[in-house]
Amino acid sequence: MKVLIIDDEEDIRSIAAMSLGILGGMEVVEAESGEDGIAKAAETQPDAILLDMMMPVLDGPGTLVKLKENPQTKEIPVIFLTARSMNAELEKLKSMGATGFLAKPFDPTALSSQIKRIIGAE
Amino acid sequence: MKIWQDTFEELKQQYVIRSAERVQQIEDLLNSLAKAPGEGAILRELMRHFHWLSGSGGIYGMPQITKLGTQGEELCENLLRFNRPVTRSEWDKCHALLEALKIAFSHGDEQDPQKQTMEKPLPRSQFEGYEILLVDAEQSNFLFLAKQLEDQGMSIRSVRNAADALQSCEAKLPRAIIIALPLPDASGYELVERIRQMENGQNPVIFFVGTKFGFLDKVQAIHSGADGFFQAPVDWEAAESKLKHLMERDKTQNYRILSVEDDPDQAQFIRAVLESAGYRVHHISDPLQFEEALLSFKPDLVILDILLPELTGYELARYIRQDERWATLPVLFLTTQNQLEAHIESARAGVDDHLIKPIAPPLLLSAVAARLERARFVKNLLHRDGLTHLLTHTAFMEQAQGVVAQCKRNPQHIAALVLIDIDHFKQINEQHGYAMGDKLLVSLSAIMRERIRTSDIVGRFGGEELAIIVEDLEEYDAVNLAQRVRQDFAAAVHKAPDGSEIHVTFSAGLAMLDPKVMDVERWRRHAEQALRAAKNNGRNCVMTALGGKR
Repeated sequence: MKVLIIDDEEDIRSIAAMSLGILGGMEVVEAESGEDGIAKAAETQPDAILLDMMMPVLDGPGTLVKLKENPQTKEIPVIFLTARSMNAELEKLKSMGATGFLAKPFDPTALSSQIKRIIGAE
Repeated sequence: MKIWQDTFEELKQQYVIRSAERVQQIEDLLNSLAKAPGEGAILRELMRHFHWLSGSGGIYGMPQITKLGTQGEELCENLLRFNRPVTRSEWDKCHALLEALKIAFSHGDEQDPQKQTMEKPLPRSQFEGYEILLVDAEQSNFLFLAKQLEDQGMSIRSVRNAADALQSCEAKLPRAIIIALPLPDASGYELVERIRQMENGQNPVIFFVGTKFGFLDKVQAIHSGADGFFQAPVDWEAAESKLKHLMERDKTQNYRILSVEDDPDQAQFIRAVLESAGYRVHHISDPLQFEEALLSFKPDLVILDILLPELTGYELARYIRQDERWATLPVLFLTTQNQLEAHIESARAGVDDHLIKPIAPPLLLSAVAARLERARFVKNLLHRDGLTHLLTHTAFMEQAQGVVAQCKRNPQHIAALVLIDIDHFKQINEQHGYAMGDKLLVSLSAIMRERIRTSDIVGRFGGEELAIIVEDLEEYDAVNLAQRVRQDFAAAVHKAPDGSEIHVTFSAGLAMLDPKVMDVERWRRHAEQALRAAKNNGRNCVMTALGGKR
């Protein structure tokens, strides 16, 4: 299973990548911005995308819109990383095509199983 | 635990270093804000820094940082929303947050060693102490597998090339060797050939992992003496369970073999050969005792003569094959009947091998060993729960049926059924994630394996429910056994994903089988009743079906 992580914070990206790689046995692709993520999603065709909500320039929701517009990437499940849950906002993101949400800070020892559960791979 | 923990600690150190810069930036921003109160751009920048701390602290096992970050973020949000100057108390709060952050970061590392010394070591699996050698030029292919194996108490040796691998094997042969192809200094197949030529070199389980395995590569791998190969990207869970299965192959010497032979000399020969290899042999000369022997001796393999008084071996073989309970039981013929018709007839009867007398002992032994190994593999696939390696519900109930039948035939035989249910399992799953729940089940099954006797039957009964059938113990002793498992489990410290330590208990219900009035369903209901009583009685206790609390 291959997961793309889009997050501008290196600390979050590297721990997520290590957690998914070592504890989840997954293949991980990292992207440090929304634009970078969109290109890598089309190129590497991951099974799921982990997307940070707050990023400079193109933020999480903006990235989601672009991913869903592109026929090459629109089927890939997108899971948002959000620091605080604001229900109204989450509902809106769902209607835009987000598959699920994970709270930040996440638990690195459970991240891979949470992703699998959200995209229904387990 | 080492591989994940090392990586985690390394990342955490980098995180703490970067955080020191962040905290410094927060301090600078606060100073600028003092000069220009109410400046939106500065506040937004400040909020971004707090947001980052809030989202990252908990990941690195520092929940205090997340809490402080969230407070800071909320403070900035309020200030931005109402667009007013910062009050005195808000200033104080900002500075207090800053100080608290500095303290939290400087103490971040000191909590961990303490935690580690408090942890009580658990029996992690039956593979505890096994040595595994990983040969990988990249040193990156096996991280996931290595972590899984370490978690189960195996010790990992890691080398980069064939030369080091050979040296490591010469010093001490590991229990298993996994080789990522290609190697920088030699062909992997040659490496395996050389290991196999060493003294006891046949013993380790050897696997290849590689990207391109054509049919010829696979044949070459097997020819070199490897036990298997996995194509990248590897399904690591499948690889792990195959590895564990193969590592167990030498441990299971206690196989039971039923031999049906009316010639006493032949019977003596079969027994002598098989017993010399460590098998337990039960012999009958009268085929009419066959069913009784199957039920009471519970053989893992049957060897039949064809020409017997009253019944033929064909009929006995067909009798076995028509009954689902013995679907995986290997049946061998050992006979003087060597005509073509006899071979055809035995194939039709569903017999696994047709061996001709007189037979050389090595041929008999290798035929028996191969069939037993194959049957064990198939049985494992059919009957073992993937997570705990205990019997599945169906397989457990089948065994329970067998025990009931045995007790009905022989009133001397007694048995107790113990149902075990982890307390507050649902809340644990909700609070700490399903991975935590799984971890608890594995830990409990490891404790059970250590505490109970190998003859006891252990199964995973449902989600969080395990079950044991204890034979030949009086109620008092059976309760004691369950109590010991309960105490061990309650005393264990489990580390939750968020770093906190939790204690978990279970409740158990025990019912003795009364073969005069009970069938297997009724027996189970009695145990379930006792389990409910234990739950109602405040949990973390063992209750018997008659209602006595222990």
